[in-house]
Amino acid sequence: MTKRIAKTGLFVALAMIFSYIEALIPLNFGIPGVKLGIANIVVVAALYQLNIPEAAGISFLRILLMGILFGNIVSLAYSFSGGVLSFLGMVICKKLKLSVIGVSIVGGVLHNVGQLTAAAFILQSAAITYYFPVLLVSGLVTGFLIGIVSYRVNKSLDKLSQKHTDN
Amino acid sequence: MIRLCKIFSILIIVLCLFSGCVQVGSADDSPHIRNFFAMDTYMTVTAYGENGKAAVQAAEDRVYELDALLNAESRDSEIYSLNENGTATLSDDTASVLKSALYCCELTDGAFNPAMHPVMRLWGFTSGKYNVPSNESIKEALKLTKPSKISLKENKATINLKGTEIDLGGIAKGYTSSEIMQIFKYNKVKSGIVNLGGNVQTVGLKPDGSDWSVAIDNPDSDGSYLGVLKTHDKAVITSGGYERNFKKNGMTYHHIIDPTTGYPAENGLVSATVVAEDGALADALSTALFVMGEKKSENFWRNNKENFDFILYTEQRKIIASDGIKDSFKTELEMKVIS
Amino acid sequence: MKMNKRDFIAIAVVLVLSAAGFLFLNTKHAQGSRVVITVGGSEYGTYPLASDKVIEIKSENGSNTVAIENGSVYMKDADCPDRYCVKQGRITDSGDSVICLPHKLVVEVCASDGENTIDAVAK
Repeated sequence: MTKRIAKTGLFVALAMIFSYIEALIPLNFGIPGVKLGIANIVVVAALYQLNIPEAAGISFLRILLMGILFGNIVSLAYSFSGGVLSFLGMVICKKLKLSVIGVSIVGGVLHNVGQLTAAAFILQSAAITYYFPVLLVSGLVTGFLIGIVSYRVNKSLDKLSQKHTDN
Repeated sequence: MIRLCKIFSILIIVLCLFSGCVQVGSADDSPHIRNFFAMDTYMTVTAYGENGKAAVQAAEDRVYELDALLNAESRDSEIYSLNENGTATLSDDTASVLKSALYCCELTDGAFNPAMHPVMRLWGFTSGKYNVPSNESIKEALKLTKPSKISLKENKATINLKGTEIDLGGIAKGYTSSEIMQIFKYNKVKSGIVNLGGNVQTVGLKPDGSDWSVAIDNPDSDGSYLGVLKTHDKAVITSGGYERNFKKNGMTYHHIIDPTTGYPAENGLVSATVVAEDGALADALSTALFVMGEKKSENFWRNNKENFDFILYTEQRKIIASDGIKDSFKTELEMKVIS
Repeated sequence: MKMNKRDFIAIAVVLVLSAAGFLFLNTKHAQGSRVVITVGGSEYGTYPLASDKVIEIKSENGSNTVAIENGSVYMKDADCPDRYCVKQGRITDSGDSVICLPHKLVVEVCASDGENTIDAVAK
């Protein structure tokens, strides 16, 4: 039990570091909302290494803490709806036996969809749907890249825990 | 697996290219706009499409060129030196404008007169130092406004009565907008519109294939219109006493001088708009109709139906429009159609 | 690395959706003629794209400066924290928008809606 709590805490910390690194990279695609989403590596890994409630906890704690530390209520609402939609989608896809890459792609796409929907509500304007197709494709591409990394991370973690149980 | 990854990457690249292409395609319709001051007014020149940029730049240069030739108040202009010396060999442009002006003068039986400069100066409309001249001085000045004293043979212009002076202000902007249309056509611009301080002229249809909407200003209140005219390939030019005027002793004196009286034209019109293919003609005729008033304008149009259409706004706040544009002009005001 | 058939179904669905979105949005992708500014969902003002103008918008959320220049519109300045809106650059086509999320401000280019748009005023 303590081991799981420690692990979860480690994952949250890692996810926050990844979010922070992401914010440091001045990657401007000219479209609001397009980013790599490297923190999702941690969430995907948690989904495979831990169980669903723990992964959910990690994802939402990360969003909440990053929002409190660096954001405001608006940006929090924004990432929260992205996070919820993305997480639910990933859980469903995992159950549907998609591979890590497929799960990551769906996560990336739905994260963008969630953020876009929140933005449309906050702005009370449908103008933002103009970005919809772009964000779908960007979610697909970044989800794919993140998926490959997550696959490798999972493989290493699997080996690592194998060794642990062996010893 | 690697093969699948490749297919996937290609798919994404194709999609990105596809979306890129669509955007490049739509950029072809973008407007190129130049705003600038010339001929004492604010001008907006707009051309759509890939050649638009070069076209509007050429148009702006052309405006400066024509302004330098035609401005009677500028010491460097050809018109100034013609007025000063009584004779001059004109450039093709100036000769062409003068020819149009003399033609319009003849056509309108002198209601448009390009030789009104002496009277305009008397009233101060040339300098901005307005005053109401005496009856005597107006009578004297009117003797010097006979267009018959101006002769133009090829490019050689001669003024045969000393003191007679030419002022092409009533036609220069119309000629200029027509020239810009030529530049647009030369640059293969299919869609364009110019607004030279309220003188509007259009080339082709709008990029979306619809007619241009040209509103006619309502001088009674700011920002409202007499109505909206749907048009293409035409000049729409309005003249009215509200454009330039001054007040003295409770009277308002405007800049459209009736060539027969030497006083501001008061023939029951607030404004006169002419719609014609030729900008110079439209410019001159809008002044002429304003001077003629309602009845004369109607008769004049009946004899020249094929060349232009008109919209008059009377002092009774009624619209009188000619048959040719009755369907394309939408107004909330009471409208009488002349046929 | 193992990807299965279901992965590709998911990818295909996303691609089809975005392609459909591109096609749908591009049908409206005509030359714009009006700039509509909305703050918090209510219209702040409409301006012609053809005439240059600088519009300063001060709301409870903060202040933004929108500039219309040579037939395009962009966010000239804003006091929002991320300044994404300023980085978005110039837009010209109908349906394009510049959005300042923290200030709930949308600058949208709209197409001419036929009857109501005036291309020029003769006077």
